[in-house]
Amino acid sequence: MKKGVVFTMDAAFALYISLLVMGTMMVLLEADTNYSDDPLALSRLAKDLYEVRKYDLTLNLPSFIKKGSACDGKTLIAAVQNVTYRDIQYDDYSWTTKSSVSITTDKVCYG
Amino acid sequence: MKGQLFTMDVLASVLIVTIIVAFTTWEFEQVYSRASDTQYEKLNSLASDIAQMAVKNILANRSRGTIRANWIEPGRWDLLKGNMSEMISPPYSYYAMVSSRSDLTITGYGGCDAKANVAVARRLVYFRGASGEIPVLTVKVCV
Repeated sequence: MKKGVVFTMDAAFALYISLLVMGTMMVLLEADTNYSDDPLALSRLAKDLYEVRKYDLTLNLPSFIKKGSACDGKTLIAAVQNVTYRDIQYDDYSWTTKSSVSITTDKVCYG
Repeated sequence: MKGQLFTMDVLASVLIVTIIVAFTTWEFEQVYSRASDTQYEKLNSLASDIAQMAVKNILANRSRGTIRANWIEPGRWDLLKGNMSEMISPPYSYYAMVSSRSDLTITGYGGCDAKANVAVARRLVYFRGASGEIPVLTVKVCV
């Protein structure tokens, strides 16, 4: 009779398949927990854009942000309300709006 | 007969041992990577929250009791500096700045240059006299 541990081919394959299943499950679990904060950050940037526009409509977008049709084809997009035809007078004490107000929605994405 | 005799059993056991060693090594790498990711998520959450508080409250311009979100007052910059030094302590470091305003920078515990794990939060802001591009508040928290 042989001494020591005897490995049969069936046992080896069973162990191999078990390891494969465990590895696959761990990869799937990791994919599930590996989330990104980018959508939240982009959403906040979109809201920032809306806020800043209330103070100054002439400022240009920084290069890391795009909006409108420049976002076509992007998978990560946030929305920002775009107020047009609105004449805002803003100073330290009051702000008044004149003319008609038209609110459209713009897409915002990372550049 | 001299020499080593390899049987199928030995080959199978070597294969299994190899798989187990490889799998264990991979697991250690995963754990290390996961720890780094978890730490980054915490840093990112901290940087994001600080930037949010800064633009919506700490730095925000006030007029007749109304807070103007995202309109920052350079005169309130020291308040942000004080808040950050209270919230973040070593081994963590931090850095904050407003684009086009070299006078508005904060460097805490050596800043974030050459740090391994750096989280960055960027927010669009406005201040009186801003021109050209929309100014950007950048907050970095790192370790």
